[in-house]
Amino acid sequence: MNRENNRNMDEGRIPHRGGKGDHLLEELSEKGVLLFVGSVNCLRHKPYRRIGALMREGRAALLCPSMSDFSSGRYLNQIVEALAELSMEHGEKQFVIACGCQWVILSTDSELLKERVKQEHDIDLTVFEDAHLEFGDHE
Amino acid sequence: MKRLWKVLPPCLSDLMGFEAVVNETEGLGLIDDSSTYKPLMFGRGGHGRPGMKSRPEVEDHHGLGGGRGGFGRLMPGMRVLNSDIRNEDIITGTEKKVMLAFDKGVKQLSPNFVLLAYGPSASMIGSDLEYAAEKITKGSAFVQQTSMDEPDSLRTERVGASAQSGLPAAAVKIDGEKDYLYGISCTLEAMGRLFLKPRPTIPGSLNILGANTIDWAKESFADLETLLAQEGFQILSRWGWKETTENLKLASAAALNLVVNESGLRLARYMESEYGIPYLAGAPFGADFAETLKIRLKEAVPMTDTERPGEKQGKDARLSESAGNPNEDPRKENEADTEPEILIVGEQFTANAIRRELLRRGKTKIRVLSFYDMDRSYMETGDQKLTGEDDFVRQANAASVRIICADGDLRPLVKKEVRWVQLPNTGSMFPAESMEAFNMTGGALDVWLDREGL
Repeated sequence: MNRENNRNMDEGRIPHRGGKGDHLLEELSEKGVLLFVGSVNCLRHKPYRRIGALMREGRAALLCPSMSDFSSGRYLNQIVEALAELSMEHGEKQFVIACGCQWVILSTDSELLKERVKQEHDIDLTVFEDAHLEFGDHE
Repeated sequence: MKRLWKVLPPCLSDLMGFEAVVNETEGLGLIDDSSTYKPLMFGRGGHGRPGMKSRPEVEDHHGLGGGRGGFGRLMPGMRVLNSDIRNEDIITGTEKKVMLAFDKGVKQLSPNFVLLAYGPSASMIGSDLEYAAEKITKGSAFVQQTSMDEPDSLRTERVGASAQSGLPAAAVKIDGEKDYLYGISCTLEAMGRLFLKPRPTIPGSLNILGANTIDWAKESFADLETLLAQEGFQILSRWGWKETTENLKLASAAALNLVVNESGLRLARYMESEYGIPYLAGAPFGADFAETLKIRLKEAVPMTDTERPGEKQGKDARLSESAGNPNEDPRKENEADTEPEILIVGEQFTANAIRRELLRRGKTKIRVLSFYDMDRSYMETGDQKLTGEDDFVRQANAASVRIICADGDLRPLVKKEVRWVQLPNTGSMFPAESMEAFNMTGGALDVWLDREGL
């Protein structure tokens, strides 16, 4: 495990320490530019501790809709707009969304969103439905 | 795009501001949320990441010893527990979990008050924490209603803590969406509403509002206390700093509130409207302003029973807006609304203090910007509450700008040559390079400005 950790650190990844959350950001950021969608408070969770570093590397961004954005469904349009802006800036078509608990509570239709961004912006989207409510701190 | 952050790492949330306040009190904080809240040093990337200057060791104020947290277990220095809600609670409601967390907290901390706050998920489903606060205050009501649903061992635990409650409790309406200053501000106001009752005024006394452990260095606060003591003022209570509940309850007897951080304004206005206590507002940073502050405090604080607050300034003088407003600098030549040359980005009162001193030193055209909560009364023309990186990009890349005082993490957003003066970034959750708050009280600010060649 230590050897694997060292290799991961050398490659700028989160080292595996055995917890469920330790794998999360590493796995997600391998699939494309990461867009976190949720409250700023959710970023305190252990898996996000490298989010600042990923942002500095241009591999992650945050979209923090307000509660009224969520409850009105406006966040869906905000996501599409954000992905389009990031895609244009990064020249990237592969994106991963990691989301806070709001996404799950609102039963967001990820498949519909994937279809929409593919159709409108030719973006391939992977959605990771974050599981704070299942695993607490993902440990 | 508004609400999209591409470069600047996230700031501490309002719930972390809540945590920063509650941890300095004798109370218990309960956040209706799924996972553990850890000391803020962890939240700020202090996991031993190479190159990080971690915060000073968390003090174990309450002798709770070690442990790595988890539901019902508090880490050293922590007085905030989470309710540990799970998927099923989203359907059935979070009330039972909140009360269970309350019991755990009471057993470990013996708090003398309780504050509850909403995690994002609890906010989404409309958890009724005001009702939970009411139940806590009433004591055993919850036990009678739910004991039959619980295993015997849990029931015994619950009866043990809840039945002896009767603790004052309140819900703070924050949910992790806004910044830490907003959280501190709402938490302080909730505490004021919970504790304060009318009291006869104690001549020569004051409260310090808003000095908090995120923005303020220990030395800064110690120097402020010394400054006030030397002038003969009695500090009744410290809101945002380490303080006893007993002292906080005394606060309504103060002749004046001294608001030293934007986060203290909400409470100051409540105390002014409810108890008629006037306030002076402004961070006491810079030797010049510290002297002015002493004079204004002496004018504003009655030192005998026969004087009335503000009497020396005229009966109807609003001390809050006229005497302490740092924007009332005698040098009016600041024309930052046209072409700013200097931008200061940070907590509003600290940034205002730096501007005030720079104006005194002959600099002009200075704007204060902040990603955090800002109060309009203390903004000058051209100042701006930044709602996204785009706002900052527009301001910082203006042709006239030549000096920026801000967190270094904003630097990649500036596409021109400017002189960069690094400010503390204690409100940032994952800064590239951590810069702790340092002493700015009185002449300490001048020393720093001299060192920076400003």
